[in-house]
Amino acid sequence: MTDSGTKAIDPGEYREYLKGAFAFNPMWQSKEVLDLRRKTFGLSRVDGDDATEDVAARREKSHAVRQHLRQLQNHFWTMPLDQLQRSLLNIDVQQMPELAPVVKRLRTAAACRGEFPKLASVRGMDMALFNAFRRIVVLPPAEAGYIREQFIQSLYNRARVKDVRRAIRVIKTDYSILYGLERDFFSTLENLKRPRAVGQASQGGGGFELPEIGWFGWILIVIVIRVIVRLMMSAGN
Amino acid sequence: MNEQLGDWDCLPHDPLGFFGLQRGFDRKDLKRAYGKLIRQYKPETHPQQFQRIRQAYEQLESLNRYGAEQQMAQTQRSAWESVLAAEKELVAGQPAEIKRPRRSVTELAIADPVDTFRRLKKREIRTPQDYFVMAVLADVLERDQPHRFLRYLLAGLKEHAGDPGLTQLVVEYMRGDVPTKIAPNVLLATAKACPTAAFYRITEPLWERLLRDEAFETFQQTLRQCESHLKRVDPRSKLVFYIRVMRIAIWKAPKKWVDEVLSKLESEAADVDASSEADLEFISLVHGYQAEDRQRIDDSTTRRRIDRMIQDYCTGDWQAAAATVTQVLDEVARDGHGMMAAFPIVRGADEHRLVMICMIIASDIASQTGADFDEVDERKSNRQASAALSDLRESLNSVGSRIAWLERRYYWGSFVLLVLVPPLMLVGVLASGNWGALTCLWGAGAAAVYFFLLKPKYLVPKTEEKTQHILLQSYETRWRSRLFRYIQSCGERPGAAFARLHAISEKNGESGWMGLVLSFVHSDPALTIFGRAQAFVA
Repeated sequence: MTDSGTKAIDPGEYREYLKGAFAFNPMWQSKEVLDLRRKTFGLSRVDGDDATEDVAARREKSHAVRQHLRQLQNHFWTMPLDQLQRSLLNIDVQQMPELAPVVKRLRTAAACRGEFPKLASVRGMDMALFNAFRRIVVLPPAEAGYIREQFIQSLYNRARVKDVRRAIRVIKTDYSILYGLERDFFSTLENLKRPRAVGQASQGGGGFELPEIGWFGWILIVIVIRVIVRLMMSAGN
Repeated sequence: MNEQLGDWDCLPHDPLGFFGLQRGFDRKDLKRAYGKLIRQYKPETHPQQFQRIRQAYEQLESLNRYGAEQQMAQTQRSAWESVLAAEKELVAGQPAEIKRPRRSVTELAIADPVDTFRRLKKREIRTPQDYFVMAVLADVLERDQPHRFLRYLLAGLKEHAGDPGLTQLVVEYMRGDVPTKIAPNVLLATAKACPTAAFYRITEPLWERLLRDEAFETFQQTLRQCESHLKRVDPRSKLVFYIRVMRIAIWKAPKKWVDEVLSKLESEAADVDASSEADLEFISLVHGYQAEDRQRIDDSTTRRRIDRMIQDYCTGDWQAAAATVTQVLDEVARDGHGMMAAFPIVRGADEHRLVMICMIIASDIASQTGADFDEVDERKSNRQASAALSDLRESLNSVGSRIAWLERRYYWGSFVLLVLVPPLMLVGVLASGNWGALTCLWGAGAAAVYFFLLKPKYLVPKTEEKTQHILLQSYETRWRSRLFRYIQSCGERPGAAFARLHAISEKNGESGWMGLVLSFVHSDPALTIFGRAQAFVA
């Protein structure tokens, strides 16, 4: 039992403890009573749940880290690389698992930052795609989602889609880590069924379509022809 | 509920007043009030306030679940409040003697702890406050005694069963001061000291930890031993307790035990309040998910992630659960293709259980952490909706053609084959004799068979089935990915986003086919979960 591990306290401390403990109403402040007891006797919670102050500190820290991340996102491309990587490495994701995905993503992107200029200079690279990718990879999802959609909307014809797909193939084969960062977006672009060019758009069945005949259709046609021939022959007789 | 929500002067002594609730409140009202306050005092921006709100919420939630808030009789409250009042005066340095002729037990304890402790031990009749004072004094004066603090609290509870102050102290002690290894002994001692309905409420946090950290057999054996000591147990408390621990036990206990307990709980569910009933429904959903849906996890990373989220939510304490849920939903919200692959539509299984579980978890964690969608930029959202509508409209045209061709093939093809071909064949093969009358007879008979039997009984259902299949296929291959993109880019609640889409289509006179597309949305498990997850992205 934790009682056995309590540290000895001097009489002055003890009196303060008594005053503090008796000032609380156990009915509504039992947590405070026991927090004070743990603090006074050097005990720690056994359930791993932080004390009130620690939880508060953690929340404050989480908020500060979010703000810090936002700064890093905004200055991702202009900040010195070593400073950027150091800042990202210093974020303790063990303490804030809810931020782990975004930190991991930014760390990967930072590690590959040197690859981006190379990617831009690849022959046949679609620069609009490159610019969108560069922004998307570091922005928070809500903003990134908007940019993704804007880019997709800008693919107004098949030729553009083809160019983009070619560029994606290059990223996939030669820059697989970068591809992994936006796999979902690239998959969307690869599978995109882009509208036909203006004037070619489908008109809801209004266009001419050769109907699919099928085996029974061909039998029917043969029978009809045969009947007509027989009728003609019998008329001739 | 009244309007005095979030009055900080009410804490800690009047959490009901703080949440603007009356005695006998509904747990839904408490959750609603809590959610409102959390949105105002977000944990990231107001950590201290959040912590106080959380503490008051947990206390009321537990009291309400066990129906124990009614037991907080006014006399008992007054008794504890007088202790507080006396101490407040003392702390403020006012001479308490001015107002009271005699010094309170706490004043005496501060002035002369040894003597007060000795006198209290000699007393034959002790008040709950006396036991509290003895527990506090024992920490220094009986340092060699194990369990000294808890021992006096339990002795107090034995004499004053249900006393709110002592009860709360024991609950808090069980939660944070009893190591799991000695939990069985402590629980047994508590059952002997407090063999009433309150036992379940007092010990609930320790049972949860025992289940989490130790083998299920230890939990089961200890529970059996403790229950053999309990008398005058209110069946409702027992039900509420079992509903609570089942959330963890369902992942650790043998299937036979789970089935038995669950069926017993379900048969007695009428005795619990609506919120506990909802908790029980959640457990039943998880049980069904474990028995049937979990087999579909296979190699799907997405499904494995979601499974981990459900498991951690059920078995972890609320902070650990909140962290995992936030992390997993963040990952899900970024992986639309993963979600679509994990939950196919055409050959997809019934996923209603999984969807409901995910929605309950997301709502609960969102209400506890304040995770929410950002404010909507109307202009941006309208633009996204119009673009989505335009893309959907385009693919819908070709689907319409496919369905029209299907109908032609089924209706006209059959008509020709049945009503026209045989007479023509007769003419073709025989081509002589009295074939005219035979042909007419055949035509009339076949037409009657076609219109009264074949078409309504076979062709119409078959065509509808095929049409449904085409629409499902079209949803999966054409519209679904576009709707995923729309949800990800518009940044608003899925319900509001789809309502916007429908409203714009209505304005363009296209609500009919848009309604058709949206009818698939509601039965798409991946899109439902994906849409909800967008509120959790960092």
